Amino acid sequence: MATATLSPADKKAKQVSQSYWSLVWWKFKKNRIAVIGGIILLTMYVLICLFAEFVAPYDLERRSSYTEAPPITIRFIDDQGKFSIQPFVYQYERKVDQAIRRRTFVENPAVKYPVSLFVKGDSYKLWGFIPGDIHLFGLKTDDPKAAMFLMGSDSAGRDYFSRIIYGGRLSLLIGLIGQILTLVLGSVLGAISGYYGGAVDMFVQRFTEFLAAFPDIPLFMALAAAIPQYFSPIIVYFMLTLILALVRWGGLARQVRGLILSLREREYVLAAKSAGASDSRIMFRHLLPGTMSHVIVIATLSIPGMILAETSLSWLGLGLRPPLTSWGVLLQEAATVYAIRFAPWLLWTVPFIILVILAFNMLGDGLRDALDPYGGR
Amino acid sequence: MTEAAMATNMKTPSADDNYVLRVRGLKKFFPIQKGLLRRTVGYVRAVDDVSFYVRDGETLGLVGESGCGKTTAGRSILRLYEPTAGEIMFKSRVLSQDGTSKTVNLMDLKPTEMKLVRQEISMVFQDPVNSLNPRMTVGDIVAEPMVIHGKYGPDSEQVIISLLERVGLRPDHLRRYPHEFSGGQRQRIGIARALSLNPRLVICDEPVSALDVSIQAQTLNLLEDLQADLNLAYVFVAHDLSVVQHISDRVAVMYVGKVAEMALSDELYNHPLHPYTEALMSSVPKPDPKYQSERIVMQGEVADPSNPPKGCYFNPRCRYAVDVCREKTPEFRELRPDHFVACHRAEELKLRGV
Repeated sequence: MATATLSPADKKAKQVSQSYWSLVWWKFKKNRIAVIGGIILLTMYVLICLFAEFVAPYDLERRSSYTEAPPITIRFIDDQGKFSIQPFVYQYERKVDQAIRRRTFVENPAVKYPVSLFVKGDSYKLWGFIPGDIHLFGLKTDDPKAAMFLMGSDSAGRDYFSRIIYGGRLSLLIGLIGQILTLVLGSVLGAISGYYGGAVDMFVQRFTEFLAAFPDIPLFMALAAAIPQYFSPIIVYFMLTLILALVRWGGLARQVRGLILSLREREYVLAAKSAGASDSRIMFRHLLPGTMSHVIVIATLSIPGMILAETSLSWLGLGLRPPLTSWGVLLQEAATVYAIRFAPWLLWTVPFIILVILAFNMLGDGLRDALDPYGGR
Repeated sequence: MTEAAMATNMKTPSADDNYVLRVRGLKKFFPIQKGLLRRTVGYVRAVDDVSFYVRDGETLGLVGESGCGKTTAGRSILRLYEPTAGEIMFKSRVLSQDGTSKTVNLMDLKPTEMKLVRQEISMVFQDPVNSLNPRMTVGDIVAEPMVIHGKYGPDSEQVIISLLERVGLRPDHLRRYPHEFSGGQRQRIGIARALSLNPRLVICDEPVSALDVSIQAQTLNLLEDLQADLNLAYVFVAHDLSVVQHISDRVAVMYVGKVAEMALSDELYNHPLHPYTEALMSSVPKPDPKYQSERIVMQGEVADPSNPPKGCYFNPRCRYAVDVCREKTPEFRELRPDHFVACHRAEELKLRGV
């Protein structure tokens, strides 16, 4: 028998084997729709959650005198037909529409403001501690009357595009954080329930049934109403995340339990037991990893539900409330006949929500196919 | 459970003190529960008063039909199933302070002591697909017993590599996943895992049943080589009589949760004392085309372990059954030296071997 010595270089060279996750990645890459969904989500999460201050041209609360101004057009050709490589916008001009007795804004071709990348603007603190005042794009001018509202402005004269970017941060994170909490709660309780069985199983299962039997919206309403009004908005935000997770872990727990019930009969579990492995080692090292592929798919496909739940709760006025800004809060502001009639750009939030939800579904479907790499080969 | 059912026949194998494992009166009853309140309406007597012993460095074959309780008996030894009753004496080195062996009853051990003993008794499983966690590399699988017992150190990778080579795998298999191996190779991984803590006793639960015949032979030879090198004792659970004959020093034949007969391998195959053993032996195929088979075809079905017949469990199918067989449970006794049998008529019957 040759004595075996393996230098680190050897090990690397000989690692021809495909781990489970590398097979998954290989299969996932071949699904173009899923990859597109993944890229959309990655872009949105990076730009909105990490760099909202930098991406948004204005501060969340920056007010202007242009209230309910319509979206502005970025132009390359001016009214004389001259082309410039530098894009520009016209100045907003205030007009009063006599017919409807309303103040409106129109573009004034006499004053042009150039649009450029990486301009100085409102100062901010990135992630709460990195000070900065450079924005991805904006108007390169010192004129205080200059304004560029890509998606119009709201009734307080705030840039709606910036508000959507800032609002997306809370909405996207509530989906992600809430889903992670759900996942942890659901898989741990599901694993305990399935592994121990008996009375523990009985208790957990009856409890999830109790939660499932409860109508969602009234339960949300009751729990949301239980959050004291004097709590700071950020605590309210986390409480809401927690509530969403607490209401929704049951379904996941049942699925994990079912998977554990079948996995715990495998001989490798018996092998671990015969070697003296503790219950927690068996659960977390042997059983839960086997359920992860399934759990990840379920989690991905239910993040949209989480985001929509936040949106609808906030829209009903039960979730987040101003000054916190989320997509639900923004939609609530747009939910008047007046807004739809005279400021339809306030509905720009909707395409963002749809895009995120579609992307999650695309990604989830792709993951579902990819996470079973041994099948269909 | 009735008192009678709990009563254990303690008179059986006394043997000398030269054993590593001695099981006496082992019972494992699984409750049958019915209804909403899960009331226990009866018991499946999967293992019903089983006694045997294994000497240091020898192989005890445990044979019987499907459902006779041989796997349950094997698993009960390691308390993977908590035995209902019985005594499992084991000569443990880890539990003695002075480096010699200390005889302990596994049934009486505290969980912490039982965990220590698990280093000395390991298991090889039947299903090469199911017995390896598909999400772990071969290295992690073989290392797991070491990790569990806190014995994984910087040199352990070398130990694992030499273990892999010892069972006929290559060092570069260390970082591969079980699905990349054939059934025979996977069983070798399972064997390497069982050996990673230098056990004294290995319980092989039908280790070759799921393999095809050429691979069976390789695996059996590997197990024999390892036994010779490492002085291992095996409890070899199987249903294939030729496999058991090949590997075992002694064989115990089980029928419906009880040991019918236990003897040295050659003795048992040539001079069976129990009618059930005789019937089993007649079913072994002979590699001789001219041989005229005289198979003893047993009548009826295997007894139901939840409702076994009165007297000897084998009596409804036995060609030699008389009245006493239908009334009294036969005692498991040492009729010849090292040859135990549970049959009322063992002395008078002249039975045919292989």
